[in-house]
Amino acid sequence: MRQIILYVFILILGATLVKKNLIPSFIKKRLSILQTISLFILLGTMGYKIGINETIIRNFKNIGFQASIFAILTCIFSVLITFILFKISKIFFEKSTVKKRG
Amino acid sequence: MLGIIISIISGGLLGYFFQNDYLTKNSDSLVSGGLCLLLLFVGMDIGNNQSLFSKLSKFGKKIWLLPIGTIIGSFLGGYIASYITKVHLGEGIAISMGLGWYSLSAIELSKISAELGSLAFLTNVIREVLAILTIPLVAKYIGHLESVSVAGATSMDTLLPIINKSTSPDVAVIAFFSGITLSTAVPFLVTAAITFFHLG
Repeated sequence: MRQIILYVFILILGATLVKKNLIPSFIKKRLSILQTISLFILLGTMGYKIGINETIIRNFKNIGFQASIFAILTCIFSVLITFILFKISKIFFEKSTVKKRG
Repeated sequence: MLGIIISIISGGLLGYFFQNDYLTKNSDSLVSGGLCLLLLFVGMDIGNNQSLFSKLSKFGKKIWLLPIGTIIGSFLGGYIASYITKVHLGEGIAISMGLGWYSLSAIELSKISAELGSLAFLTNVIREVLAILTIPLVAKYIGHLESVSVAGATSMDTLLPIINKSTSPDVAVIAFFSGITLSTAVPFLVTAAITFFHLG
């Protein structure tokens, strides 16, 4: 819970700093490149953490196939169901708008 | 996309072949610090977007479809994966209900068996890596909101910067909301799967 509060606080802080014009324009203009550099460093460190974790490396040889099937299918079905739900909601939304107009 | 793949693979290889004591000791702090910095940049991006809240208010109750779709999709994925891998159905569903939050699901399921805990841990680590690699592609070819569902519970932290980069600040806000909802739901979903399938 503390972590969620910290993340919400940081996001609001970032948004407020920009709204109050407290961020110099040269940083605002380079937000995208700053994000990209920090993201690559973060991903590199996450990769490093996976590389040094013997449990992951050892287990990958034994149960890697099963874990990969679970990971791939949960990702595919999450995308599929979300796609279908938003398509259905769009149809319902359009219908209700037409009814209101009629 | 190429940069993302290179970063994660080179980090992994560096960790596997050339371990550095300083980096190993401080990797957690580095990830936490880097994440906070990135979230600050995401916050600035959100603040920069003038029409963000009017766009969000148009979404209304539909915003709930994202976490609901992710839970149902993960459940179905776990259900089918159980048949393919011959893992016990209840165990498979409990693993998939981790929704990418590997530390929590692994801890809960390792109480049942160490092997199940390891499988949950590895599944959710692979899901996170898969999400890192596929979010830009799903966002480009299928849809922005669908790309958020791949991330599961991690769409509020580690994967939020990638979502923000691959989509737009308004989707990043929705992703954060979805991540919080799913992170709150994971402990209940994993426990519910354990209770319902009498795994404990």
